Amino acid sequence: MSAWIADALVLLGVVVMTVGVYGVFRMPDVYTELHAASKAVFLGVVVLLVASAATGDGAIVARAVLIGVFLVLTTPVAAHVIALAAYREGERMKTPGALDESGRDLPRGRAARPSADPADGDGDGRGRPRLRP
Amino acid sequence: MHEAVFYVAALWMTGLLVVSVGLVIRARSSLSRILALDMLILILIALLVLLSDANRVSYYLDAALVLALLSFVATIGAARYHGEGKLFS
Repeated sequence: MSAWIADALVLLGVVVMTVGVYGVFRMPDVYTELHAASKAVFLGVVVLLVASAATGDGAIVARAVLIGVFLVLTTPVAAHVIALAAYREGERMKTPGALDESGRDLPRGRAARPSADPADGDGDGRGRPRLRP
Repeated sequence: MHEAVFYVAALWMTGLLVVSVGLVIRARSSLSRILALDMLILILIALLVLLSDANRVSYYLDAALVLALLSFVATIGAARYHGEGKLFS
C-alpha cells in the first residue's frame, strides 16, 4: 500500500518540478523567475523526499528528513539574496503592470506612500497600472 | 513495477536537467544564471533521491545533502559578490 502512495507522490513531484522549470523558462525577469525556482521546484523536491521516506528504512528516512529540513531553511535565504542583488543592480520589473513600490517607479516624495496617488480612488495602491515599454 | 516508476521519473528528471542546462546557457543576466544554477542543483538533488529510492540504498542521499550544502553556500557567495561587490560586510 505504501508503495502505491510513494508512486503517486513521485508522479506529483515530477509534475510540480516540470511546471517549475517551465515557469523559469517563461517568466520575463529575475523576480518572477524566483517564484518558479524557489517555490515550485523546491516543493517538488520536498514531495520526492516524502515519497522516499514513505518506502525506505530508517537510514533513508533520517537522511530524507535532514535534507528536507535543510532545504526548508536555506531556499528562502538564497532566493532573498538573489532578489536583493537584482534590486541593488537596478534590474527592472518586466511584468506588464508591475509597480516598484519601493520608489523607483514612483514620483519623488511618494516612495513610502504609494496609495497617495490621486488617480487611485480606493487607496489600495492599484489604481493605475503604470505600463513600462 | 514500483522500481519502474522511479526509473521513469529519473529519466524524466534527466530531461529536466538538460533543459535547465539550456536555461543556464541562455540566461539573460548574471543573476538569472545564478538562479538557474541553483535550480539545476535542486533537480540534481531530486535525481539522487529518485536513484536512492530505486536502488534502496541510502548512500545517494549523503551526496544529495552535500550538494544542498554546497549549492546554498555557492548561491549566497555568488549573489552577494554580484550585488554588493564583497562577500562579508
